[in-house]
Amino acid sequence: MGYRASVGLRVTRRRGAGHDPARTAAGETAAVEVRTGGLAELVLAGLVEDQDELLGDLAEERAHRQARDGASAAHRWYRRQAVLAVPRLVWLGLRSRARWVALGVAGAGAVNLAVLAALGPTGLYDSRYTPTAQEVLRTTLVHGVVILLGALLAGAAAALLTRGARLVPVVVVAAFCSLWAWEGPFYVIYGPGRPAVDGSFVIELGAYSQDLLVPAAWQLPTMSALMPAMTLLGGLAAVAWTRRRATRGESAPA
Amino acid sequence: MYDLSEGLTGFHLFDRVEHMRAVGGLELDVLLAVARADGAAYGLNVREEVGRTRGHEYSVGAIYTTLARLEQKGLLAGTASEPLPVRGGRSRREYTLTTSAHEALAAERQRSARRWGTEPQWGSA
Repeated sequence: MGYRASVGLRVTRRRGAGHDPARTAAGETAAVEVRTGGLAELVLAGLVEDQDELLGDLAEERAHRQARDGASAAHRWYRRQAVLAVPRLVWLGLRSRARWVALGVAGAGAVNLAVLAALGPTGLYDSRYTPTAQEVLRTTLVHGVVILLGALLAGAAAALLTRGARLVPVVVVAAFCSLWAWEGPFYVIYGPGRPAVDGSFVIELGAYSQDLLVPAAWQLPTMSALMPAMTLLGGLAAVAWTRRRATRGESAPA
Repeated sequence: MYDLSEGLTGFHLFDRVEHMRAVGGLELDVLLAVARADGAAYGLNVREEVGRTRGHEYSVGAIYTTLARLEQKGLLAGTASEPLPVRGGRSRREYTLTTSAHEALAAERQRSARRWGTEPQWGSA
């Protein structure tokens, strides 16, 4: 079924639309004209199976509130509802779509591992070698950018492999990435400059310095925040793309 | 001799008990709101009715997830309406109670009556 998608609502009232949802049960007295591209709507659309139900309820109630309380109050209400809905929708998705979530997470994991394998043993500690600041900076930037691009692709892969509630596995992957990033600082506290355990490596933004500051300064603000953010961004991009495709498919002549 | 009808009744009761175990307080009020809407129940009017019953305004997401859970449990059946202008061209999902939901509500009513049957009014509400 077709709809003009989005979050930001521009409400046009027709012939005295009532404020009570029951009064507009047939949907004949008020029309809601919506713009495309709102982030809140995109997030909610990515967390539900039936977009029409939740987004339509929000649009309908928002229209009534806008007529009653004004545009800014209605906008605040909408944003609050969106924020409140996210954790519930993620939990519902985890409980009811566990197999799809697992598939999405596995796909994202495969993408991340492929990127890391292509990069080589980033952050491997070698006590015989002390890199210069330039080397650390260059490696940090190059590896960091590649890892973040990998996170973007992983988020998109998680969303595209899932059917319905596409953002749920993306949220799981983003949360896992954030936790993963704390591994380096843990080793900084545990033993400065000794991230390597049994010859393995930790993921950090290319920093293989023995310096205590580099992993701590880079990893916490970047890997624990940027990598999940990029994963979510990839997932949102995939959701936006699938929605656009679906809309085009609906509007195309039969 | 095994009585088949008795066995079926036993299974039926077991099924009913399972439903009651699975239905929580908010879910019960959502089922009642759907029942009261008489075939025209959808997210917003269920939210309004549940809010009136419980004296608390629930978020749209809370009601949406509860309706989805109840549908997964087989207590509600949902159908999509035609796209409506008031919703920006989106459809509504309208809910009706299933047979299992009717049984669950009847069982809850009996349970409540048994619980409160002859008890005095302990204090002012």
